[in-house]
Amino acid sequence: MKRWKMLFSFSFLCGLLGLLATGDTGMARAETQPGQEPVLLTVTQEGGDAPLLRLSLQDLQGFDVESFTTATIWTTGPQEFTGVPLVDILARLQQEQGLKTTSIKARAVNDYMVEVPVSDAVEGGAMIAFQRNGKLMSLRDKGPLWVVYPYDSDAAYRSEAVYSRSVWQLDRLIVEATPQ
Amino acid sequence: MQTSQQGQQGQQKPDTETAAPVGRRAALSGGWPFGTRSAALTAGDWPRTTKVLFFLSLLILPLLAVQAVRMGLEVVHRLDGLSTAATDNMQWVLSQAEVEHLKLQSETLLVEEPADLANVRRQFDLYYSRINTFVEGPLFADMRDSDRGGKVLRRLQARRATLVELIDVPDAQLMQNRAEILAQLEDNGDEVRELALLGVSMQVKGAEGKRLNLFALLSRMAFVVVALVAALAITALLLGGMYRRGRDLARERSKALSRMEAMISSSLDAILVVDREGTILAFNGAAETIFGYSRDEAIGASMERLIIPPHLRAAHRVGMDRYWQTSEPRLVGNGRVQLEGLRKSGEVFPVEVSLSVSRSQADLVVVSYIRDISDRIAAEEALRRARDDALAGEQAKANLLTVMSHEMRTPLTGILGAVDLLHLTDPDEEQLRYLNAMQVSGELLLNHVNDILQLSSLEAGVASEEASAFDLRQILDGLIESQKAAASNRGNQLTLNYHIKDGDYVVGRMRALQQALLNLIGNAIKFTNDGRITVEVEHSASPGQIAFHVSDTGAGIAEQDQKRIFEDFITLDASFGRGSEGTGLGLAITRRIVDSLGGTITCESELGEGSLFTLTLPLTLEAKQTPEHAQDRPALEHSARILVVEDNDINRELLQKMLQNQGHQVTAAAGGAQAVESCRIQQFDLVLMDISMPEVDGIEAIHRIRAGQLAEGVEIVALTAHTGPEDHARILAAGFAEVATKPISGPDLAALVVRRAKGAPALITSAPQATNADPASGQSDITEFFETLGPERALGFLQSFIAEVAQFITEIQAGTELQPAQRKEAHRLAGSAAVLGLAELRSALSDIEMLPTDAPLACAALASNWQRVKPLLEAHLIQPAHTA
Repeated sequence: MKRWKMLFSFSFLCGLLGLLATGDTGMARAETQPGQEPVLLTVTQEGGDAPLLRLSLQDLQGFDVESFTTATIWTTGPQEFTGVPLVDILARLQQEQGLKTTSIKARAVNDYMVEVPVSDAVEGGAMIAFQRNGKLMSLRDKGPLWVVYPYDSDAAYRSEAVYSRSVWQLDRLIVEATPQ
Repeated sequence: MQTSQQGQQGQQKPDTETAAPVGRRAALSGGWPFGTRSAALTAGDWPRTTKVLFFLSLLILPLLAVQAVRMGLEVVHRLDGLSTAATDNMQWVLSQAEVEHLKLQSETLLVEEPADLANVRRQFDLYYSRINTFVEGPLFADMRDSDRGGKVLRRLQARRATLVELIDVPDAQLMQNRAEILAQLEDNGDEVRELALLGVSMQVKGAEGKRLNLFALLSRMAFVVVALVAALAITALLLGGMYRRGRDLARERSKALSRMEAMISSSLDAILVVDREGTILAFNGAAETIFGYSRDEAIGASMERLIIPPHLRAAHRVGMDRYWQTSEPRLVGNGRVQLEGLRKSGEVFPVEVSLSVSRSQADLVVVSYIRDISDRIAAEEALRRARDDALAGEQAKANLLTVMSHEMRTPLTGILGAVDLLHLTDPDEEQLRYLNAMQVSGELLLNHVNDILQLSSLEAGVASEEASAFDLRQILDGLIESQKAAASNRGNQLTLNYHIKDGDYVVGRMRALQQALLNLIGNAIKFTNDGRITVEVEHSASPGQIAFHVSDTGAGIAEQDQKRIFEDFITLDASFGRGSEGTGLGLAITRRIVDSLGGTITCESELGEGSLFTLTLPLTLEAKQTPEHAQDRPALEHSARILVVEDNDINRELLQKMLQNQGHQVTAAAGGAQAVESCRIQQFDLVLMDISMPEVDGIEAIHRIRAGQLAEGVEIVALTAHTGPEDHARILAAGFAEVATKPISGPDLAALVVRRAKGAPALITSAPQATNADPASGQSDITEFFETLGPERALGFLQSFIAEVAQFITEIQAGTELQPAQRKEAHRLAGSAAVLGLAELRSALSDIEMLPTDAPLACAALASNWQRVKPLLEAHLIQPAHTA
């Protein structure tokens, strides 16, 4: 019985992976404003093109920057990540636009997109890193932005789901937000 | 990695845990052959094995359960791991590399002007980062390390380095490099593809490993679960077995219990169960009946307050306390004990109690069995009373006989004396015939009375005579001689055959022997007419014994009677006693005498042929004393020094005279105190002492003499008018050698001296012997009195005695209260009356002497007696015929 259940879970997992792979269609481009700091992260409302936030490296560095050290399954050895907690981004959104975020989708440069639950946006939760081991990250080095979690701090963060939310080469957050 | 390590530890742990019970089981089975295996063969040990199994399964069950839970958790964890594996979407990443590669190819092909180059550069960066992930990520370590994967990756890295050189150049040059880049990408496509395929195969392999792992785990778990189920099944079976057994036991127990209930409730004894505090726990039906409390009343109550009489409670408490403290029982476990119980009605009654303590673990109860024995005690009491009454009756009969005989003997003596006197009054022939008839009848009666007296004194255990040396031949000759007349009266011949040659002197109790032989000879004469009576004396077959055969040719005794003739009062039997006079005590007395001598008596007889009585007595011969020696002695040389103690003047003088006549030296003392003094001053060979004396009496006197060692080796003989066996016993107990009854005849006195005097020769003077021939002749004591004292002196005494008594009676009749002087006079006169053989008068005077001070004077008995005696005495005064 267990064996059947296991096989079922396994095939379900495979199907999910296949769906994610085929769902990778549209390609977005990082928008650069001439004469200005290049925008690294754009936050847009779901269904609307008007950006809610446009954040350059400088803007991001203007946040209360945090950092933690953790191992990842993609790198060798402990890595020190520095960046802005996701919760702070949402807080900024609420602060400036009066919007309360109810869902988040993260999209990478190569149009990989995944939903990040709002519940991940907590203290000690998901962070948008712009530095790894004290250095800015290039596109070739999974930069410039990488959604990371403190995997070592909690076994719950060492799950398939969290790994899939760890989007590297992040360039856009698409949120559903309602005015308060 | 970490989780799998934990898993491995988890797998190792159960092994060490299961090892423990196995080891323990081995240890247990190691012990069996010596301990319980043999016992296990018997059915009774079944539960023990069950118990062991049960405990084992109890031990194993939790272990199995823990193991099952642990494995279950691991399975859940693994399944969880499958859903959230640490692998990420490896295939996605690998295939994504191909996607990025293809995108890079297409971007490169789409380039038409330098503005499009940014897309190529960005796409290359993405591709670059993909390859980086393979190089860097720990996920791909296996792939990197594999032969094929490593090779592919190295080629991809080399080509990427080439591409970096071609792409990281200014736009113009990049435009020119496009063809080169495309060519490179063309070659690169196969490698990227191969990498993706490699990823797939590796993924499959990994998944299969995990699957197999999980399968193994599930198999193990299945095994554990099966074991668990099996253990549960065994436990259930065992529990079922135990349940059945428990049910059987319970049934057995209830059966035993009901049996026990029946036993207890049907018991006739009260059964009480009491706990340590004395509270009654059980109370059966018999207890209800005996104590009167209902079970409901009794149970829970204190036993002490309920059934123990108040006067025993303290003792009970002390006893119980001591038992609880020391466990040393006095009542408990000691069988039946007699105590007292208390009924509800308050009645205290005797019970028999048996206690036992029942111990079950810490619980201690006392079980008491109590039997109401009041009926038994009452029956015992009644029986004892009946026995005491019977004994007292016997005693009263004996006393009555003694008194009666004594009281009868005295008047009888008087009658015979009067007959004697009548003989002297020159009766005519007819009168003489009547006188003879009177004399014969009177003497017979006297014999009967003497028989009874002797029997009762023997009965009381008084055999006062002590062994002495005497001439057997002489005694027998005298005996035969004395009976010859009686024998010839019936036409019988009486002969003695004496077969003892080696000396005639023997040591033994002469008087007893005389009496026994006399009884046998007398009997033989009585039952034989015109026949022969022979007495034969010879040595018995056993040494130191002499046999006496008394045979006759008389009527004989039927065989069935021969055994009974030695019993008391046997003449009532017609075949034996009819036509012959006698109390029937003769043989009974003889038997007792023989018994007391340590001898035997047997009887052989045939009806019509005759009888043979054989006495066998222990008599030792004394060879030293020869008759010649005795005869050589002048009479004076044998004279003994004798002290006569007697407060009565006449009596004292009479005794003194009689003894002097027999050739002895006599000292007289008038009282006990004087006797003691005499003994102190002088040595005597014999002391004759009156018992009843004023101030210091005979008993007191002998005590003083013996205490002062004043007459060592000298025998003291009591003289008394009392003849009851109790008096005799009392007197002998005081230390007197024997008791002589007053009045004592001359021959008796002579024999007494011979018997008792220190160093006296056993020579009996011949003169008194002649008068001694008939011991029960009924000779008047007064006659002897006259003979002894001489007529003048005797007359003087008699005259004054008559006058004194008459005056005393007058005084008493005049007075109202007994004066001390009168008491003294009564005593003196009683003594004189005894000397004269006037026992009735003596008794009457003694009664007055013993009267309590304040009692009214009553001399009717004395006066009437005196009326009878006075003429007799006066006859002596006018008939001085006693002058020898």
